[in-house]
Amino acid sequence: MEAASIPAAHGHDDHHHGPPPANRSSRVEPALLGMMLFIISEVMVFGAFFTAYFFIRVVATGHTWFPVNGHDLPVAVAGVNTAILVSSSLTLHWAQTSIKNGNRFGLQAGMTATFLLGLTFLFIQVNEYVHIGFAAQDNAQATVFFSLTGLHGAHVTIGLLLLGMVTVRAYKGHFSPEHHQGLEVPGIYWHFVDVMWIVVYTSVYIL
Amino acid sequence: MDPAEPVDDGGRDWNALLERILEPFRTEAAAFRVLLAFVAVFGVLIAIVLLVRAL
Repeated sequence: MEAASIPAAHGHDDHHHGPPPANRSSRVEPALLGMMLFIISEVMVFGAFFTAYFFIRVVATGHTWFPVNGHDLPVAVAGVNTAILVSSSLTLHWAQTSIKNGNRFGLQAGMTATFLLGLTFLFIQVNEYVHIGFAAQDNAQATVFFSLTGLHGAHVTIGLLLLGMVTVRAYKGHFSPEHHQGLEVPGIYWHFVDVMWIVVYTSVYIL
Repeated sequence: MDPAEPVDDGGRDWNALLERILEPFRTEAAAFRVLLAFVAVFGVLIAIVLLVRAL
């Protein structure tokens, strides 16, 4: 009988302390599965903001996209910023590849470069906000512009906090070729933030 | 019976389906490949839009 066999199978173990390990119904690593589910929920959040954007662009009548009231979007500056963010994914991947091959210098240099590139992206975006010439409350287009880019900026900020922690841990020697999940999971998040920016940039600045 | 073992009741193996769906996103390297695919697709899209507007 199943119930009777449990105490026998899990007899008292002198070496194990604390509660028994949690049951895992999925074969996907819990940390990875958690990040996957989180990213799925994030896609839905961005989807809600894109709905507002496409409503103005496609459904609502009487609205034109930028330039609005003589104000245009800085397409070229944002384009350079896009290149900076994509570069940060390249350096992150370099850091990840380095630690897999046991190259500590590559990990540290890659993480430092990734963090600095992310910080540069955020700095340029804040600078863009300061000099853009219109405010979020001016019209619906401005509201959607600041909402979408601001939502993404908030994600970059969170990503930078995670990358900052990973960078400090890289210098403290917390990662090895066998154990680097602490870099793997935030890395997936950072690539997701990059992918979202490519979609935001194309929709808001190019189309 | 180990509770972590999948129950073979003849139905669809949801774990296998989940693993297949999540495969392109499960590691940093895989997520990076997804990013490169996005860069390629959207790069072409942006180039086409800019080209059409310039003509």
